[in-house]
Amino acid sequence: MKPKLATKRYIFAMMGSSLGYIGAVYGITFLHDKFADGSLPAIIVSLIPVIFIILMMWSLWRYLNETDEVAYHDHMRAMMLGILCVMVLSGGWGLAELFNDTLPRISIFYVFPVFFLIYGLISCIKFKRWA
Amino acid sequence: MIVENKLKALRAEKGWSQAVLGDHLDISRQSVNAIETGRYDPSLPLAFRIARLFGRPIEDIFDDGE
Repeated sequence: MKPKLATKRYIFAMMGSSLGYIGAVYGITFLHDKFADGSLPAIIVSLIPVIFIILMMWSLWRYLNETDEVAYHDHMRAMMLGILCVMVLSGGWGLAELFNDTLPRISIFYVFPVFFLIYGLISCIKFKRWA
Repeated sequence: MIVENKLKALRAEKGWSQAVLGDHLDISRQSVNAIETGRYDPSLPLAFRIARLFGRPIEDIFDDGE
């Protein structure tokens, strides 16, 4: 497949699933105030955004399989750096939490956006993938 | 190991832009730029495609200095 077409398909799928994720998070945040009773239906509803996370992962996976080898190489390196940063940050913060009760507890939920933030920044800055 | 290549010169001989060369090789313009500047060394299959496109042996295009 032509890299341009792969990129177009990726952007379309990723934008769609990202917008769905944002909408779902807003939706369950709104419902949280009314239905956060710990019941099974409430838990199931709280997991609706996961559908969009899976769609995001699928669009990224498809892109990596469809794009050319240089982009694949760059994205894999950016992802590795993103994973390393997230592991250092989460591991370091977790250890600091153990020894300091005043530190705010950060939800594991934030691993997902922090990883994508670092991965995106590295892709843009280090590999100039916007050019 | 540093591998140098003559891709830019060969492309210039043909009068092609990076985008045109990318279209011939099914890779993006950014990827052509990455190979030309030595930021990325192509895989063997891609190196063969490049060599066939320019009608030269791989050793004529890529030089590992040995």
